[in-house]
Amino acid sequence: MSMGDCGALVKERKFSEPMVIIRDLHRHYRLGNVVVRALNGINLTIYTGEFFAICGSSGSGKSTLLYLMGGMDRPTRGELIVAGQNLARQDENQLAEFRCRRIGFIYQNFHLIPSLTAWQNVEIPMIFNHLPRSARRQIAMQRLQEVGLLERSHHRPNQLSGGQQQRVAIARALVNQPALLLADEPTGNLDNSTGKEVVALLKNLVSINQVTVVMVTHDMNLVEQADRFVRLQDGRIVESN
Amino acid sequence: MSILDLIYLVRGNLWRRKTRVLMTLGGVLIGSTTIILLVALGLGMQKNMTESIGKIGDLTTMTVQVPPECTLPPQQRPQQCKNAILNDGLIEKIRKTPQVRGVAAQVFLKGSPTYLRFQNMETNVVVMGVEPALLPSLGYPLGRGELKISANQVVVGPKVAEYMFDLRKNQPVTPDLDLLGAWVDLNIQRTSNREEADRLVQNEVRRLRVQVAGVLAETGGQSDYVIYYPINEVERWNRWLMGRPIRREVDGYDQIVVKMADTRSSASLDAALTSAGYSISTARKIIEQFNRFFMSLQLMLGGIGGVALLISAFGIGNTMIMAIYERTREIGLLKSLGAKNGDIFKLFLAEAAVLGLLGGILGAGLAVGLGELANHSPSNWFSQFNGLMSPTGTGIGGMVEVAILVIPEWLVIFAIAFTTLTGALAGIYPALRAASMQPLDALRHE
Repeated sequence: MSMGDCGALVKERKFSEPMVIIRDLHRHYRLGNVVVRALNGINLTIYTGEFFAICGSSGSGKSTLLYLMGGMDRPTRGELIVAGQNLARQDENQLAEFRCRRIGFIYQNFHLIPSLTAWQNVEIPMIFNHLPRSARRQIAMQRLQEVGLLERSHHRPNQLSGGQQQRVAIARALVNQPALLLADEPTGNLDNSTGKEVVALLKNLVSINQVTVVMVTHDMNLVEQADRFVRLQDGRIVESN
Repeated sequence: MSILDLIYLVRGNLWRRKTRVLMTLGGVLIGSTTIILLVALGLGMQKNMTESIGKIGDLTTMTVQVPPECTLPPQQRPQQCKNAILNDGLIEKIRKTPQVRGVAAQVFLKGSPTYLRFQNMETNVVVMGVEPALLPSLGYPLGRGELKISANQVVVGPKVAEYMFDLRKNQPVTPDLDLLGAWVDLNIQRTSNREEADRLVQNEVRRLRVQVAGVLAETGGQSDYVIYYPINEVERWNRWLMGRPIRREVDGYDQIVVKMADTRSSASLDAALTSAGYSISTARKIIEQFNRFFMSLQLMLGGIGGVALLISAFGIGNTMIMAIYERTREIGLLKSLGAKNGDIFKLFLAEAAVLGLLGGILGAGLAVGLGELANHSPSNWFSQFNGLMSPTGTGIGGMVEVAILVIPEWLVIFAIAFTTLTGALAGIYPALRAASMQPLDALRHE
């Protein structure tokens, strides 16, 4: 399976409410004296409840697109509406609020805080969402149970396997009941079978929780499981279905 | 993010970098201990000094004198001295002031030195002419004997004969004498210039034989060491000592002692007499002067401690900047999870402040411990120092347990608050840097 080859997988569109609306989106930045056009006119609509994949070779702009949708970065120009909010017009605090309530992130290298236990890692987004302490612990435990790690709730990340760490990260991403789950190579650091397990879990959870998922991946197996996908090259969509 | 959440997160963050946190705390601890001990030393000195001065005179007793330039011979005195005379008119005026409990004129016996001779022992004394019956109203109550005395009788302070010189053994002694009823000799001496004689300078000595009719109660002040003699007798001998008649209306009394009901009325009479051209000395004034001195001393000592704390502030700043470099990705992560810039700022500022707070608490504990040690070990150098500090020179090292380090609660609270504030100030720049990081750049930081 070659990198960036997403295959032509056509699936029936079952959903109609748009979750992400992108019109002529550009993201340019300077690297020394060179202007890098990471995104160069993207048009894309992603619908509520979709399991959506973005693929492309490294440097194609797929991660840039993902983090723009998550309000972690700002577009140079163009329209970017996510969960009903125009992200191009929000200040830093509004974006933080947006990330807190609307977005869940899952990363390739998990990004768990090593000094905190599993449940404390899951707890963090709720702190920023102003939940009371008693509720936080209860919800964190519930989420860990959903990912099958309740008995590991008091272990630190270095006492957990890669698959378990990613499951903790999934619990953390879902804990504030986001509308959109953004996954950056979620299986990139996992072996094949673990990756499959994690994706199965993810699919199961998002269907239960009615969450839209956008993920960036090289992994053909993942792309095959997506409802739809786009392929990026040099900051443009070169393939979609 | 609530305070509790902040504490919760900060605790975890500090706990995982134990070694570095402990080293940073060490710096703050030294700073806080230094500040507390130095200020406590200043406070201890001030306390000892104030207590000693408090013994010299009651805070409500004031002594009225004329300014030094007004004691010159009449023709050399400045103009303004004409109005500032310590005469009976002034005494009457003071007596009519509200809140005055007692007032009395005093004249010193001018024959200096005056020696008290008893048996084979001698000591030099201050002889003061006063109306002895007025002494209790000035705050010097009678201990034993009588205050109504005749021309050849005296009332003495209880410690007049505390230190004497034994002429036979030729050495100083501290006899435990009861002089009440005893006859003692007062030797006065005048030096006169006689140009017609061969010798230009001639010393004449007179021996006044007097009986001790009363002994004052011990007050711990000046009066313990004074011999009180009827004012008429003192004036008679002063005429002989100075070789000229004394004109009371021009020369006035040497001083007027006033005893007030309280310190407030004492302060207002003080102000009135000062503006009338008199010179007032009170124990309160001396204490105020010393307080001014000790205030600047403490600012200096506190400043030295402040330098130590300043150094530790750089330690805190350094620790925090290191932490931010190490935790750049974590900052990015926290922002992706919904942390606002303000949350990140508070988090790092609180970490720095907690470093200051913990260091301050540890330092305060150490300072209090050292203070206890210094104040309760009688044979150490602190007590020796204490003996030297005693202004009357009577403190004997190791025998009197006086607190050399005074650590009041406010000092401990102030020091802890100050180290916390210092920590927070040192954390502002690192916290601002952390807060202003771009979330995506921070998250991708290698």
